[in-house]
Amino acid sequence: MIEAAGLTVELGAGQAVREASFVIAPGDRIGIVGESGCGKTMLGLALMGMVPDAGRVSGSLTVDGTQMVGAGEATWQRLRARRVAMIFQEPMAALNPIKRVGETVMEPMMVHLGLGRDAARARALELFREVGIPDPEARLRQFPHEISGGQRQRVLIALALACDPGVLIADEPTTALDANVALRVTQLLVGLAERRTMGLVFISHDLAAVARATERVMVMYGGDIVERGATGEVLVRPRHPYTQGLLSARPSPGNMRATAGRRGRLPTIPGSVPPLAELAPGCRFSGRCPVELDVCRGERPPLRGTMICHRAEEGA
Amino acid sequence: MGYFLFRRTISFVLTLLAVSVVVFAVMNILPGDPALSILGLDATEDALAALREELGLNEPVLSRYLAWIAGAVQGDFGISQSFRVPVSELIAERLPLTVSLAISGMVVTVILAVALGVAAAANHGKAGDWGIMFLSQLGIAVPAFWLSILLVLLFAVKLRWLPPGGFPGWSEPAAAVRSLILPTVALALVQSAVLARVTRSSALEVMRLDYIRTARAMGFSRRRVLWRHVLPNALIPIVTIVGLQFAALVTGTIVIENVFYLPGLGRLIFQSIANRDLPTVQALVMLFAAIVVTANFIVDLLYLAIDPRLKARS
Repeated sequence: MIEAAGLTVELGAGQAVREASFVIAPGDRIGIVGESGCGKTMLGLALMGMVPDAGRVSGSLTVDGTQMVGAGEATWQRLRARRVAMIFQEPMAALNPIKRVGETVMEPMMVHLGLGRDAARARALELFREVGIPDPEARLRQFPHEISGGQRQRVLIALALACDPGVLIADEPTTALDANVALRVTQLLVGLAERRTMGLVFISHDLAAVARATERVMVMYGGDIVERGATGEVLVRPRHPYTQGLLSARPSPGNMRATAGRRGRLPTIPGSVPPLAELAPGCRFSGRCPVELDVCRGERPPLRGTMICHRAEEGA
Repeated sequence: MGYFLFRRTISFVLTLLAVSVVVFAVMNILPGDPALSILGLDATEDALAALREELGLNEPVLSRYLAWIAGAVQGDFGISQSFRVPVSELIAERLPLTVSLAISGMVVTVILAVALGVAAAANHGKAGDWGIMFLSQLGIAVPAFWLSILLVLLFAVKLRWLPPGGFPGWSEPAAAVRSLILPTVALALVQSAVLARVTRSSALEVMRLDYIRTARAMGFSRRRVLWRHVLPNALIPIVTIVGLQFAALVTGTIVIENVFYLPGLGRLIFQSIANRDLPTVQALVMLFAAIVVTANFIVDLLYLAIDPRLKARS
């Protein structure tokens, strides 16, 4: 169980995550969506105590009741893999290239759980079966370069599950995979979370994958969680102007038809995410927002219901 | 993999062959009469002719080369002119000392360099890193013979902990080891300064990679991540440099053995050159070259042991 309250990550020039508050209970499946550079990954790293050395974390973050803001590296090391585990975007680069994948998966069990080699090997075999790796006995002895990207991501998932964590953070787990494989990996993560009553944080800019994988979703922009709610609700009836822009920018039969007249161009959100230091002090989205008011730029919008927006009451 | 070994073995043999041609050519074909250079300008024409006959200098160059190679392959390098004994005997007497010195120098170099290099990388940008880098800069700048003299002055002359030079022979193992300590340190300090820098930058490179983040995310201690994940992956450039350094160490023994009066191959080659002892010099230069080529061959094999990806590619 992870509880964040006012969790903030400062990175030199500005705040990469600003006052994030949420709860992840066992079995919860939560999506975090947003453009590149909006703070999704930094939030994930903050939950692992792995923000870069230059970063400063403040606010409150408890993992199974222990306050982790200000905790030392040793305290975090006891938590990682056993309470909270994380898998990363690039399965190609995330596995030690000179270790057999079996050894890689066995290592945390031998180090953290004190299992002997045989016991660790037996459990690694079980995990490989659980994550759907075909011919697991042979796979254990292979090196990362000998298996495909999808299989590597499964190996990484098996590795993350090795010490039976309560929460799994998956940072863009399907982005580097082709569509079929991505779909199956998403289904695998959902199945694992359900069977193990494990919390799942699914970080992605792939809205379709988030829709399939999660029950709740948090939309991030410029370090703020600008909107949140049940995944079906937020992705079908977005209320925050940013979420609306994000959704209208993805190809769907509806907007393709609507835009066919204009040489088939998709609608976009004008501009791009500004660097941290140049974000407006008020609403992070001001400057790109189509329905901006005078107060937006200077004054931080309060949390109203499921979103932070000055025009929340009007149902912007 | 079999193909890789085959190719490497062929190139190993070809390199040795090329080295033998160069060594032979330098000694025999270049201008200058070996008999004259041995006997000196005052020698009579009769004496010169006799020595030319004895050295086989009247034979055609090609047959002399072939005869030399045929002998060398069987370990026969002819008779030393200054010592009047077979060159192979001279080498057999002195080889163990030089090999012990080179290997102990290499071992100390690697241990020191990896420890310092990894420590510097782990403390990247902090005082420890700066300190180690400063010391290694100093180590690179200092010539080995000068460092040797300083070591002798401090540990042999002033503190009297270790002998200043000489070698009692392996029949007294304790004294023999003691007399090798200073030469080993003198050889290793300079080399480890270079290798520590290579280790540091290679480790820093690896520390940035995704799979190191994965290892950290698995809750492994900093030490475990460093020694079990970073270092093995950082080894390839380290091993490359170690191969080159072994060559430098072997040739470095020429200077060190002379400074410490050690009866090894380095001192032998020095004396042989001074005595114009052609067969001995020729055999020793070939031997030094063979050691260097062999070291590089072993490095290539080590790559295969370290990185499974190379096995797949070769």
